[in-house]
Amino acid sequence: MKGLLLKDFHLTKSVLCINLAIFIVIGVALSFFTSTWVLTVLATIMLGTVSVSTINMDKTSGWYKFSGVIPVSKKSVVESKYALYILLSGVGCIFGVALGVVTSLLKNQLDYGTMLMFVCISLAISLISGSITIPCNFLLSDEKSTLSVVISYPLSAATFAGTFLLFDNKQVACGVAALLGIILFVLSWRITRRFIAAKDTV
Amino acid sequence: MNNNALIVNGLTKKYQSFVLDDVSFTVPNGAIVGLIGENGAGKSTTINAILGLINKDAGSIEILGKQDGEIDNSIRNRIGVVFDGSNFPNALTANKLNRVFRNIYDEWDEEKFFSMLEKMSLPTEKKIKEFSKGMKMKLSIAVALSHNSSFLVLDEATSGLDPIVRDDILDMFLDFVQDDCHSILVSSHITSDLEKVADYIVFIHNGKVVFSKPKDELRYKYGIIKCGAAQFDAIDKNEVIAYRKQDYEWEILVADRAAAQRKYPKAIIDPATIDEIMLLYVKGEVK
Repeated sequence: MKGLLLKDFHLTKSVLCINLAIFIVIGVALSFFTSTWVLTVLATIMLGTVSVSTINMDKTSGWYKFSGVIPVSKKSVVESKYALYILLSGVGCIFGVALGVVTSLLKNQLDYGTMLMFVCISLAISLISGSITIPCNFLLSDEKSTLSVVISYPLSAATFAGTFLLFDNKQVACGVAALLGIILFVLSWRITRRFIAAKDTV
Repeated sequence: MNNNALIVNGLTKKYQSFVLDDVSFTVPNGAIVGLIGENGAGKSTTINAILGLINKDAGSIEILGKQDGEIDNSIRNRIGVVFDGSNFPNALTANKLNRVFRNIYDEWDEEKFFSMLEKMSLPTEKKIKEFSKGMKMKLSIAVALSHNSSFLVLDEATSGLDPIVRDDILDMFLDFVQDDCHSILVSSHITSDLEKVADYIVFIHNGKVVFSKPKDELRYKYGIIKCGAAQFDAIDKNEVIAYRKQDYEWEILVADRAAAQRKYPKAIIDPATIDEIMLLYVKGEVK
């Protein structure tokens, strides 16, 4: 799996750098108008999306077919994408928190409770959308999988809003949404892994 | 351990509009086997099934002594594969590809990889998207030969390339099979390439194996009788494999040119090329 992750790192390196630069500029500007912790949500989603885009890159470049003949199992190919998603979303989350802390300190508004709540929001939205977009990108055509990306974020936001309606306590609602995200992501990981292994590669 | 790198037996795969039907052939150790057939005949489906890229409906496949259920990463390490077109992400360079494959193949030979790149005049720091089709193909072959593979599978590896690059690639194939433990299965519809290098020819048509024969048997024993209608009527049809009516003559494919010449001394019997054999089977009447 190390080789597969290394390949994706080489593929996404330039995109990641551009995304981080955009994030810093937009994020800092945005933080003056809204909560600084929104940056955490933005960064987590932005970097997670990059990892999903590598699935279609693999398909169009012929690597996806080639990965079926190298000494790596089909399950590992799927796992590497989920692992990359977690890795990049995690980096985005940490980066967002770091930038959030800095801007909060500058505005003298550091509040750990709100920070934790936004980390949960980031996790929930990122993991719920990832659990939809990753399998869709593996199984559907380029155009249809793009549609899945468009649908997945409103869907994860709706799930998130649903937990807010169910629980009066905001922090509990955020925690439940994050937990739901983790469960859905793990389920998606396990089902996709099994499904792809049994499916024809070409 | 048997003497075959690959044994395909009764391979069947059913699609809605196409059936790969009971395909059987072998690739002996130290040999190059050419898989020929028109576009859509089933060559790529056969190769995809052999490589485990599609699930077969019936039949068995044995690669390097292991049955398909037992084909694990240790076997995959020893199989080099080249597909038509691009195999690698365009944003990578040969150098980055080396770092990736170092972490994928157990016996990745970095030194051999770079020496092959140098021999093929391929740049190490140029992105693959800037490579020509021939360069991409050479890079794929360099990768296939750099992990101590003993069995190469090439699907239309020479199609779309100019004759110079094709000739270079064919030389590499011949070098590879100098080792008796090395074998190649190569599919192509450019039969002239296979006439140069293949030891055996497997001809697939409409998803079925029409024949699997040593190339020399086809080249030196098969013949085409070119004659008029009267002579065509006089020929014993039991000796005919296939025939076709052209504008002014009949073309008749026979399996034993010398015997036919003895029996019909006045007939013009030419040696048959693989192209001609294929054409007669596909477009002619088969007995």
